[in-house]
Amino acid sequence: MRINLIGIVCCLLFSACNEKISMGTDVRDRFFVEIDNALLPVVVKGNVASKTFLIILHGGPGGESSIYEEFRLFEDVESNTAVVYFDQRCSGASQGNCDLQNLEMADYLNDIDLLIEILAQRYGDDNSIFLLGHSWGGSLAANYVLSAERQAKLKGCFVVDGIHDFSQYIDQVRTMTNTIGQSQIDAEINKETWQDHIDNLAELSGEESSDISSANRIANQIESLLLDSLDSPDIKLQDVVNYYFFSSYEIFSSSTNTLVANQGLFDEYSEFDISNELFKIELPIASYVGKFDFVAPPYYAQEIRDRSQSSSIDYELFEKSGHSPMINEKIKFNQKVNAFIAEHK
Amino acid sequence: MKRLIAYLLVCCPMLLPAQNTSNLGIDYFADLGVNPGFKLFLDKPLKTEITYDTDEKLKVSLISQQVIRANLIGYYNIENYSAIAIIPELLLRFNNAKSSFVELGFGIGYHRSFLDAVSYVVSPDGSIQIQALNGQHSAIALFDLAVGKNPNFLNKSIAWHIGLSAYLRGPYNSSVLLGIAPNIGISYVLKKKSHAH
Repeated sequence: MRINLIGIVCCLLFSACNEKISMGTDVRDRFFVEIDNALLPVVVKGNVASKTFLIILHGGPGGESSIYEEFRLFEDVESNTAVVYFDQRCSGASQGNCDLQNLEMADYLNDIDLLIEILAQRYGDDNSIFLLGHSWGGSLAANYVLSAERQAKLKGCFVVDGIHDFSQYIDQVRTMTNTIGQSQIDAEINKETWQDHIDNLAELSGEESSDISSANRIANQIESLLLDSLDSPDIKLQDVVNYYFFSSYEIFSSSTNTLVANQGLFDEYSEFDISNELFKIELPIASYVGKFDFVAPPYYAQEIRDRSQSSSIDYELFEKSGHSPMINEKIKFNQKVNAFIAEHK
Repeated sequence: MKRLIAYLLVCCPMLLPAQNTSNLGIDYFADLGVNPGFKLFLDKPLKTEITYDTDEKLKVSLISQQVIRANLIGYYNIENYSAIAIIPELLLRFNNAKSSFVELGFGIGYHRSFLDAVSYVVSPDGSIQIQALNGQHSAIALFDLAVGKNPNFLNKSIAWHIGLSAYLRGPYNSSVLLGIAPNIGISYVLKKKSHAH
């Protein structure tokens, strides 16, 4: 009797496995990609019947994709396009191998190749694929489309608040902080805090790689000083509850992965500089940035606009946004993405 | 496999020298605070020390016990995976005259996750195969703290308790993953215990 009872419990826990491929207009499919023993969760959500896919590259290194899905940041895009949310290796809810010693950006680019191949295997090879990278994901996206072979796999690419040249990073954060900070000090708004940030940034020489971390930390803190200049996010309590309690977000695995990925990629990422290769970008490209993004100052989006050789460049400065325009100006952001995809798919 | 799990749970504690009565219990086990699950456990006291009140003869003031426990934990994350863990555990339990008790435990065991999904497995030669996802095997270390009440602990009774489990699961992406789980549950004394004073 006891054995039977335990057997029933085990059977309930051993859920049946089946491949679910949906082709409708309101789809949510979930599957995994396993490579080098790294297990990457993928969610395909939205209009699969459109045969147009937008792959989201989340921030980080070591961020996670469920925040974009659960807070419905691409809600309007999902109506027209299948949005592909996936946790990169050593990120979010991904599991398995995460070899810190050999972790490279190249691994992440290869994973995008494989994801595109798997999407073709699941949904057909006559699909239009777009790439959208945010923050660290923006760096990855810009890096990915330097290759002509990879550009050929895509109909277009969005680089949103990405950084492609860390040699300029501290100068750019400092310049922006000095300019906006001084205007805030003159207006007697958070005078002491702004002055502290200006002083702290002035002390960073850039000779130590830790200076980049310090500048990045200050840049993240600054955004909270400018909330009056940003559009309020359209986030409901229900979204927050759903995110923490009923989504694929796992607070401990995400936190662990963030620490791990940052540790494993920091040296390479802090020396990342592809500014002299941006001319290789020829596919349609959208370069979006928040006006008050101190984390990835608008300088970088402008460089992509100015240096790429794309036949179609859509540059947008989101006037009421910080580092995440898809949060601050969600409706406008979705409209821009939809329009770009409609034009190039 | 199922027979082995059943054997470990049911038989191992009974193989130990019988010094006192066993407890059978069940907890609601909420992995990460929200993922619903249950913990079934079977206790076997290894050693019991009773301290009597010096002023009032024969009045028990404290029972301290060393206990071995077999845990079977199962939980379900709505979006991620279900999992089971089998964890033998050593506990220290202190039960005072007012029938309140505290338990501190530490165990090391086996954690297995299960996913209701398919995986596209990329082999070194670049070929892609679709496979049912088997989940992960990992080691797990469990730390338990519980407080509760045993209304009539010298005789038989149902005791209730609340507690917090913290666990370390590894390797997880070459790292050790921290987890927490609030517990609330009851335990039942399997055989009436008699005390000769």
